[in-house]
Parts: sequence; structure tokens; C-alpha cells
Amino acid sequence: MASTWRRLRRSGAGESVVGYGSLLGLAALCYATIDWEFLSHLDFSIIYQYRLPLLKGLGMTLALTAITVVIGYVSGILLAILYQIPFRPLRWVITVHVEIWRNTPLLVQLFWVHFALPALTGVSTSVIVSGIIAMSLQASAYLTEIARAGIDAVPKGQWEAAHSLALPGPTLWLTIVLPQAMKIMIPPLANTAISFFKASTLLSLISVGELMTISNTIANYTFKQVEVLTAVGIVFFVLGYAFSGLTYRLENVLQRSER
Amino acid sequence: MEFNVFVIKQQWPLLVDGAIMTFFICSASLGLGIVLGLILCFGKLRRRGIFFRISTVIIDVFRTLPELVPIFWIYSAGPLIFNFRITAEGAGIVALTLYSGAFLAEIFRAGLQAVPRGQYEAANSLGIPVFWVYGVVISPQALRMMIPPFINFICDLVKVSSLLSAIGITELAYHASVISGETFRYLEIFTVAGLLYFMIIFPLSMFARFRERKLKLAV
Repeated sequence: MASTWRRLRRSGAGESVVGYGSLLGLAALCYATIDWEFLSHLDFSIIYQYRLPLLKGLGMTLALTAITVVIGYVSGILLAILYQIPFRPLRWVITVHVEIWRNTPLLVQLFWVHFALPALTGVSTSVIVSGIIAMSLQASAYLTEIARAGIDAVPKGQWEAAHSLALPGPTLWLTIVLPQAMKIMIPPLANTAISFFKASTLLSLISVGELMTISNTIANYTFKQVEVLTAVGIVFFVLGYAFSGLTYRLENVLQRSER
Repeated sequence: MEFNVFVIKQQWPLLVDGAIMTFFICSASLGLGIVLGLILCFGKLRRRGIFFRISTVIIDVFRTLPELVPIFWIYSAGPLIFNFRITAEGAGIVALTLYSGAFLAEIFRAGLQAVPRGQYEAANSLGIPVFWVYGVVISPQALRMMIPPFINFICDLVKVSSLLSAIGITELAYHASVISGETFRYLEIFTVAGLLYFMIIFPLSMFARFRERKLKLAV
């Protein structure tokens, strides 16, 4: 008896019974609560009908992500280089910038840039420009931190060798430090790009005209929330999953080249 | 344009109400998310079988989807498909629970897997019962590793909870946008709302960084 029981446990049959049992229970619960009448009237042709605006929105999302990441990357690296200058006030300014934009929600930053900043500067920005400004400010804060870690990870000997050769600043940075730091930065950079791809959905709250805005408009216009939201969710999942798979691959390749 | 302190003084109670609601939503979904995360984590650690597959799918879906998609889906599409009505707060808590469950499962798994293999083997060879192996040997080491990413995740959760203003939950960001829409004092109200968020998130992230540094020194 005991040996049979042990064999059953080892084989994982009990686990399968419990697993499939709970799955069946969940299915029964769904069957009881799902409104089948409604489900049978779902009409996914709405996606095909509105394919052009949806594709345009997707293009907009990708473009906004790319712009944000590029601006954030360049300014993040510049800020990280400036941070290396041993001048206290400058360091404080950069630290305050990084902490403020990292420790507040993007939503508040977005509304602040769109509604409050024009009151300060007197220049009113369009929704797209505000969206790009808010996202790239946050991206620059995140990427400053990443770039700083990357620069710190370059071995001390490299700096000493460059200094002892009396290399000028630009050569030191462009040919010695940044190429080595860049390699360390690539995986976190890719992760940041994915998180900003996800964050770009927030821009729908000020109606920028990217995928989420357009899908919300279509859903509210046609009263087909389920179809449109599900389709958009699938698009976001597939793209995000592909991106993170590529990042994982990239990380593996970089790790292999390290050895 | 001058900075009008009077508006802030006048609307302060509403903003504090919003901050309390944010705290309530975050703690509810964090508590439920820890339970879900533990279940998903054990499913993922099995490496094969039906539990593993279900939990992998849930983790992958809710880690990759932008947070706004499940929030809108559960709030506007959920009641259409299922035969129950759900309040905005309920929908928000369900969405954030799924989000935090998925992320916490990966944090728990990383913490458990960071404990060296030798610790399990040593405990097993000493004949310690399985329950005590996890309770006394593994979990103290794993918990210490989990603290920094866990606190960082709470910071993210507070930030994500601001998205719930989109479905009309009366938390901090919602009150901020309503008040500033009424008074046209966007600069003052959003600056204060941002500062309130900063006051919640900044100490947490400082603590996480402090623990991380300590952990690095210990290793």
C-alpha cells in the first residue's frame, strides 16, 4: 500500500489529478457565470473593419516608444558622464532629477507636463509633445541610473591606462569607457524599452492617438468593448512577448561573449 | 503665474482622502497578490505538469500586458461576459492583484533559486524534515534576498495604482485631476499630488537600495 502510494506521488499522477480537477472546477465556474447569449454574439469582424486606424495607432505607439527611448538614452548617457565630473552642485542637480522622475507615477508626470508646465513656461504644448516630454524625462532618469552603473562597472585599470597614456577626454569616453559600458548597459536598456512600450498606453489618458486611444474610441463608438479590448490586448501581448524573448536571447549572447 | 497656496490649503483634505484610498487599494491588492504569487511561484517551481503550464501562462500574460489593458478589460468587458456586476474598486483590486501576483511570483522564485543548492543538500543529508528545511534553512536566506526586489515592487504598485483613476476610483491621481479641473489650478494641485506620491515612494526605494547595498556587502 505504502509503496503504491509512493509510486503514485513520484509519478506526479496525484498532482495531475489535483491540477486537472481545479481546472475543471474553474471551467465549471466559468460555465455557470458566463453570459453565453452575449458570447455567441461577439463580432470580431469589427477589428478587420477598423484595421487601418488600429494599425496607424500601433505605428504611433511604436514610434513614440522609439523616440522616447532614443531621447532618454542620449540624455541618460550625457547625464551619467556629467555625473562623473567632481563638482558637488552638479551632482546634486542630477541626483534630484533622477530621484524626482523615478519616484513619481508617470500619470502624474504626464498631467503635470501637459497641464502645469505651460502655466510655468507660457508655452503650451500639443498632446503628442507633452507625452514625448514626460516619457523621455522619465526615461532619461531611469537610463542615467543604468548608464551610471555601466560606467562604474568598467574596470579601474582601463581608466588608469587611459590616464597614463594622457588620452584626451573625448577619446577616453568614446573609445575606451563607453564601448565597454555599453555592453553592460544593453540588457537593462532593452528592458527599459519594453517597459516604455507598455507605459505608452498611459498616453491614451490625454488622447495622444496611439493604439490605446484609438481602441478606446472605437470601443465606445461601436459598443464592442470586448472584441476591441481583447484584440488590443493580444497585440500588446504578442509584441511584448516577442521583445522580451529577443532581450533574453541578447542577454544570453552577451553572456556567452563574456566568457 | 503665481503659485497659489490657498487652493492647496482648501483642497488638502480631499487629496489626503485620495492618498488613503491609494494606500487601501495598494495594500488590498498586495495582500491578495502575495497569496496568488505564492501559488504561482510553487506552480512555476514544479518545472513540468499542468500546474507549471497554468502558472507560466498567467505569469507571462500579466507581466507582458500593459497595466491599463487588464484594468480596462476587467472593468468594461468583464461584466459584459460574466453574469456578475463589479464595482470600480473591485475591478481595480482584481486587476492589480493579477498584476502583482504575476510579478511577485517571479520575485519569490528568484529568491528561492538564489539559495545555493548545497543548502538544500546539506539540510537533506542532516535528515531534517522537508517542512523544516523550508521553514528554518531556506526561507530565512531566501527572504533576505527577496526584500529589495519586493520593496521595489511595492513602489511600482503604488505608481501603477495611479492608473486606476482612469476607471474612476477616487484615489490620489483621480482627486488631483478632478480638483484641478474644477479650480483650473493644475500647477499647484499636480505639484502637491506628485509630492505626495514622492513622499510615499521615495522612502521605500531608499530602504530597498539600502538593503541591496547591505546584501552586496554580505555576499
